[in-house]
Amino acid sequence: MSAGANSQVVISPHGKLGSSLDPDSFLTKFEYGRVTALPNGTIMREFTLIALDKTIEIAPGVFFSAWTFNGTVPGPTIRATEGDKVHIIFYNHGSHMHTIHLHGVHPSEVDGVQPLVNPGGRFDYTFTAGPFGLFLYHCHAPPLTVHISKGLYGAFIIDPSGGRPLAREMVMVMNGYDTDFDKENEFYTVNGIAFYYMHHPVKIKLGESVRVYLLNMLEFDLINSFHLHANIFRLYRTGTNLTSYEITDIVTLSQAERAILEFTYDYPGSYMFHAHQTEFADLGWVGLFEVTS
Amino acid sequence: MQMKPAVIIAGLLPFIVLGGMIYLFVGGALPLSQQSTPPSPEIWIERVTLNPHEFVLGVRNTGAVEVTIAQAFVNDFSTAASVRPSNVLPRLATATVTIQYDWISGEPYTLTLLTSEGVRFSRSIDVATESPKPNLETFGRLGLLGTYAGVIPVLLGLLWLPFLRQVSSQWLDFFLALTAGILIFLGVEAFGEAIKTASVLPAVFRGIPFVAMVGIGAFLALALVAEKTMGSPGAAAYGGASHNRSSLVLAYMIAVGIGLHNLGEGLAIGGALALGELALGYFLVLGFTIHNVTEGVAIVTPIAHTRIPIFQLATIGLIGGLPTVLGTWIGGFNPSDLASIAFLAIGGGAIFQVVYSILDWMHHESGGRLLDSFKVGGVMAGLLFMYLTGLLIPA
Repeated sequence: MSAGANSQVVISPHGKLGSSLDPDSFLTKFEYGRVTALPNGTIMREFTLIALDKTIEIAPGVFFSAWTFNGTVPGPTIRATEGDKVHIIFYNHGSHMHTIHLHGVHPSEVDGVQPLVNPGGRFDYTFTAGPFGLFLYHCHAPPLTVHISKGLYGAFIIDPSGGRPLAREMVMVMNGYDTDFDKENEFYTVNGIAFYYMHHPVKIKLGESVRVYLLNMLEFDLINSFHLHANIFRLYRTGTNLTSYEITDIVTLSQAERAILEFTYDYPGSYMFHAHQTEFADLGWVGLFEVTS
Repeated sequence: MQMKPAVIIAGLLPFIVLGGMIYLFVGGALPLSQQSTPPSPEIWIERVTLNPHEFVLGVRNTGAVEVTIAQAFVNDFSTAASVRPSNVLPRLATATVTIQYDWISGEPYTLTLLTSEGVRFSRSIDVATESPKPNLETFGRLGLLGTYAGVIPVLLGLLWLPFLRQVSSQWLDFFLALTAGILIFLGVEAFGEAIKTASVLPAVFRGIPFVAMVGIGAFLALALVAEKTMGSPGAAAYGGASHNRSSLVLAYMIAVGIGLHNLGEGLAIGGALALGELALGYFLVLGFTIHNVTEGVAIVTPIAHTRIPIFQLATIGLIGGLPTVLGTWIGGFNPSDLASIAFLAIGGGAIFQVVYSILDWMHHESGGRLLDSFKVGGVMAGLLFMYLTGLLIPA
């Protein structure tokens, strides 16, 4: 045997990653669009979303042939205020037909079921944002399971006109990856990479008000959940109401359901957050908050 | 031997043309060699060893392309693993994957490796139990089980020699035919078992042709060795050599064939114990103990009328029985499926060679008259007897 016979490679879910996705930047990145004011004073926000086939690294060394909006899974978080005019320019640079279907109130023509946009094609979605709350967008081309599980989704936040109380805001999109196409997920993640926030903890300040925009984009498993360690949060389901909330330490969401969570840490240290479907936690949906003074 | 250059060139010419054709194909000069989609990766988890707090997996790349092992799972738990020498496996290369895991004795596990493309390859353990380590204690324990299953019953079978010395020549024919029946049953069983295991091998190993290759090879090798060292029993009888010699040759050959077969039985026992199937392992031993008494009868029947020293008789018995012990060791210390299949096919091929020798010997001894009711009845009785005692062995 050669000298290499004694060599050894450690493979680990916490191992070194390439740079195809950046959950750190995704966490707090909100796209407000290109802003213009219409003659009547209404704010107009223009977004460009491009469907792209892209191979992404979803766990150390594991590469998934994804369909993406703008090259990432999840796609960019787009954000507007109630009453704004929203204009989404959609280019399909992928190899299959796609659409953008947004949750929220809008006319039928921009519901994103029809027309299917051919590879190389373009479609413009224009509507007035409302009501306020936490919504989402995803491709609605059939079969839906395929187009969503391959990665075509993202968060869509509509802020109330008066805004929400000041807080450190972050987006968490819960998802899964079926890498061998057997209708079961191999990995579960928040914001695209399994176990990512275990080795890149989310840093927050002691006493700081934290707001998490939480979406469940999981396919194949009916429900998903978020559990916060050593703390309790105010839960605003779908974010459509500013005054009534539930106080809890766990929220369970079915496919495509959303919630806004608000909390503050009173003690410094490391705190886990994870799905309380513990098998999802064992397969990647687990992370850490690092609370410092 | 001197070869003329022209002859050498004539011999090499087809290879040169072949090389040219391969160059054209691979070099992309033809419009058919490049596919847009690469073939799927394929790895095979050949064996799993359970040590305290760890699983050790022997892995081989059995596909057409290089494979990178990216992640490991125990059941549905994502876990770290160390891979030696590398997690990148060229075609047919092997690697050893060690997973630290606090497994629970008696519980089932599925171990999964994920390639960089996200393809899963799994192997299940029905009942987790620590794999035997090659040390004095386990050698002794497995050896004792092998002795019970193989050595003791074969030696017990030899005790029928005084009885066989008293029976008429017609009844001796019956017992020799019975021996042939027993061996046919064992041979079919060995090939059946080999083919069953071969059919779950990765396609690249071509399991069934592999069984045929090894089985036929064993048959021919044993025939040649017997011919070169002792002369064939049939020819010895025919050629007027002493009856003593030809019958002794046959007894040795039967012992060798049975011994090779018992190696396969030992593998089954050791393998069951290594996989934690303790109950199955012990039932196998009990079943084989009863089943194998007949093998002793098979060995001594040809020498019923031959005077041989007791130590030589014991030697023949041990040739037949001791390989069980060897098989138990090999099986107990976790061989690859490929090795198990090879041993089974060798046993099967050897057995059929012995059946052929017995028929050859009987053919000459009886002056060419094979079909009579004693001989036919003997073969049938041998098959039936093995079938009935086989019911004692858990499948």
